[in-house]
Amino acid sequence: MNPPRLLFIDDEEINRSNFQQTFGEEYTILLAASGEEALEIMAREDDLAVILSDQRMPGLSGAEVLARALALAPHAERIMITGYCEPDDIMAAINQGQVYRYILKPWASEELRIAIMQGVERHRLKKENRWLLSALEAKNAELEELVRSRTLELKKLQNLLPICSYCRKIRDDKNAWHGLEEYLHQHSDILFTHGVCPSCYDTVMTGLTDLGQREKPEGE
Amino acid sequence: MSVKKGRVLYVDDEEINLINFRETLCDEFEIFTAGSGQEALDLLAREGEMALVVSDQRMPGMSGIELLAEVREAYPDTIRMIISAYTEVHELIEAINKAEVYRYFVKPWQEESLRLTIGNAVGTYALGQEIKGFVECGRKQMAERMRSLAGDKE
Repeated sequence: MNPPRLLFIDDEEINRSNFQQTFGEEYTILLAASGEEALEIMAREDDLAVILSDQRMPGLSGAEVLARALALAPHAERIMITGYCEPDDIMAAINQGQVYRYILKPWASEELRIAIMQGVERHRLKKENRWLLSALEAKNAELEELVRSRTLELKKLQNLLPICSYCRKIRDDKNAWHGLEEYLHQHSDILFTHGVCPSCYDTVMTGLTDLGQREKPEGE
Repeated sequence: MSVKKGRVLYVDDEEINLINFRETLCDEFEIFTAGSGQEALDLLAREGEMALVVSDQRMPGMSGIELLAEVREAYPDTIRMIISAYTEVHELIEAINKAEVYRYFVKPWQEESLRLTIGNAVGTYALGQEIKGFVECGRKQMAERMRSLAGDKE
């Protein structure tokens, strides 16, 4: 299975390479040096598990990038990592960026590791839920169709069936003739157990006796 | 057809705020109020799950964040919001990391903005419940169809 994909956004090269080194073995890391670059990545990647952003960068701020991520990568969890903490920035992270975690720089790698693991897990669970939902829909549609066609087949047996008076074959709605056994089996779940009725038994046995009697003299 | 109002619990130690909140929003939402974190938990145990719990942060006893962290454990579908006159950094960070709040609102609140935000929160909760209900209903339908197919075969 492919490792989960993380997008890390920071304008400082040292933070990007540090992040890559710390988490590159467990995850597939995508790096962006600016909010603008991150938006391009979000537009083309369709399965980002977690987006982590610095707050203060030239151009778009972290909160702005994460707010845009809500539309561009709605299934990714969002984490803010920042060295500065002005109340207004944090409020923006909550109210615009709808972040899942807020981590202070310099980050303690254990704290960040746990936050990422929880974010990845949340993303996985939500994805699984979406998948289950669509699988459930598909399965139900399939079953509905099966119930419908089964009902139709059962109904067929309640209608008038054209039957040949001599050989007892049945004509279906496409004008093809089928043996009685074959037809009943196809249109119901009936299975046949074979036997011989008394009158046929007599007929068959008489035939056999006749045959025996005829053959005897010839054999002698 | 009458639409069921979203159930919102507001927690604040100042009674004037509780009255104010209820009067402002009771036309659109079914409002419950509690004067402390403990009172809020008791009310939830009695009244059942809410669409949204909005809490003041600084109260005697349990803080808003502590309350919402407990609400998150017990009622994970319920949306959580803080309304506070204070915006101190460590409280804000805890609101994210411990209480996983949907919004942090600053007092004194602007009525229209508050109404809109609460409407969105209640809508988010309702959507989640609808999806849950849809899955539940789908499961039942599936079981019923399987039973009817199995019944045909007997």
